[in-house]
Amino acid sequence: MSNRSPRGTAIVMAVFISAAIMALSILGTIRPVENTARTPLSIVQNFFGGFSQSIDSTAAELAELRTLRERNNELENSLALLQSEVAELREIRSDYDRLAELVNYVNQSSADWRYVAADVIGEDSMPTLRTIHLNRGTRDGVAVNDPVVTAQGLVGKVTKVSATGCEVLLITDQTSGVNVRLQTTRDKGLVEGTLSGDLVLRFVNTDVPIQSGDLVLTSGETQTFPPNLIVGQVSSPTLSEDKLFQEAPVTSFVDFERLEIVLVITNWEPVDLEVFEEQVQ
Amino acid sequence: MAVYYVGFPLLLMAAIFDTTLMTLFRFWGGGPNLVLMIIVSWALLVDLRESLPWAVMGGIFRDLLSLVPTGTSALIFVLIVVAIDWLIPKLGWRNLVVPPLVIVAVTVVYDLFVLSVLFIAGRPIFDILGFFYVIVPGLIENAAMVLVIYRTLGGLNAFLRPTSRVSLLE
Repeated sequence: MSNRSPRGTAIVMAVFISAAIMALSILGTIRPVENTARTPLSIVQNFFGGFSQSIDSTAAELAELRTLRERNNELENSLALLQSEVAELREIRSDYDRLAELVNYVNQSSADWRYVAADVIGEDSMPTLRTIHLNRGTRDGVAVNDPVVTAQGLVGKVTKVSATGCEVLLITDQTSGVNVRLQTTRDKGLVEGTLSGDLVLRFVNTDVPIQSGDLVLTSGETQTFPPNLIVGQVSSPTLSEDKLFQEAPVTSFVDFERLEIVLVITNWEPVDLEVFEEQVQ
Repeated sequence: MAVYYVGFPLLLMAAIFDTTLMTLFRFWGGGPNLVLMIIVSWALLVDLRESLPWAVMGGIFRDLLSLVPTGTSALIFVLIVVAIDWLIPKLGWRNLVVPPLVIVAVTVVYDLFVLSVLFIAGRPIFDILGFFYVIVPGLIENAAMVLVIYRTLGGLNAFLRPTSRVSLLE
């Protein structure tokens, strides 16, 4: 009997402490403490994150060595074509800027964005939760809801931030939804993540001609992300289960399995839409 | 007391490894869970009162590096440790198969618990195919790795307490 009591007390204590921390965490009461505790963790994580990234990229490079030469030739040909297209687009851009100035059209463009480059130092400890950890935090101007991108397109948005690091919810996560627009037809839809980490375009009207290879860009609606960020490329559209909409897989140009360096847009200010919601209520 | 002091850095590093080096071993939607393997192995090696603080510490460290609400893993780790302490002596098992068998059962319990909490917190739940996609890879990898962890911790336990060595393998 003398042994049972301290054991029972220890169990009750451990359950109570864990349950209390869990309840406070769900309620958000201990968020400042959690953020403070994550700061030293992100420093150590930074070191090991770099180490695992280098192992991963070395293995990948070795595996891809054979195809690299062919790919290089293809890319050089594509580059030559794209350079002429860029020159043409620069002309159009300068026309656009002049016309926008004439009509006093104010729009925050990508040229105005301030980027903070960040290393990916880790992933969520639960593989089903598609989040990554970066080595930039409030000290570097990163805030919750900041969009995260690479040169290849949209990556996700910041969900938690400490002084030295932050957590980014990837667009491939099951709970992610990105309001998008098809570049060619300008029709709208929603790109959602899936359990397997793929992207699917949903809620596109049935009369919209979706072409395989069409680019999908953020629409800027709901102000979750800035407009015109590349999300990916659609392929083989099908009817949704209820036959009311079309849906299609979206292939991102971002390799989410091998993200090493990303850019956080720190000065994008979404329009505050909450005031309209309050007025409706 | 040394076991408590050793547990803190060990579990802290394990939680960090789960988000860095161990991600290299992920396939499908699952991957190895180093913190869980350490907690289970330690619970098989030592008394409940020594394994409980490790369960709480390990759970908190793991959740701090995840979207999961802090304390979720700690709570299920505590329940797992209590279950191991109650069940294993009753069954009287003492052989090499015990750690892999226990980790397989415990991985399923842990993943289902955490996924249930996430479901309550508003995340979508998945079907039976999702179950295989997420949980099966994790439990296979945990079962493959747990003996290494168990033996290493057995060595650590013997080093910390040379006079009270306890092992399932003896």
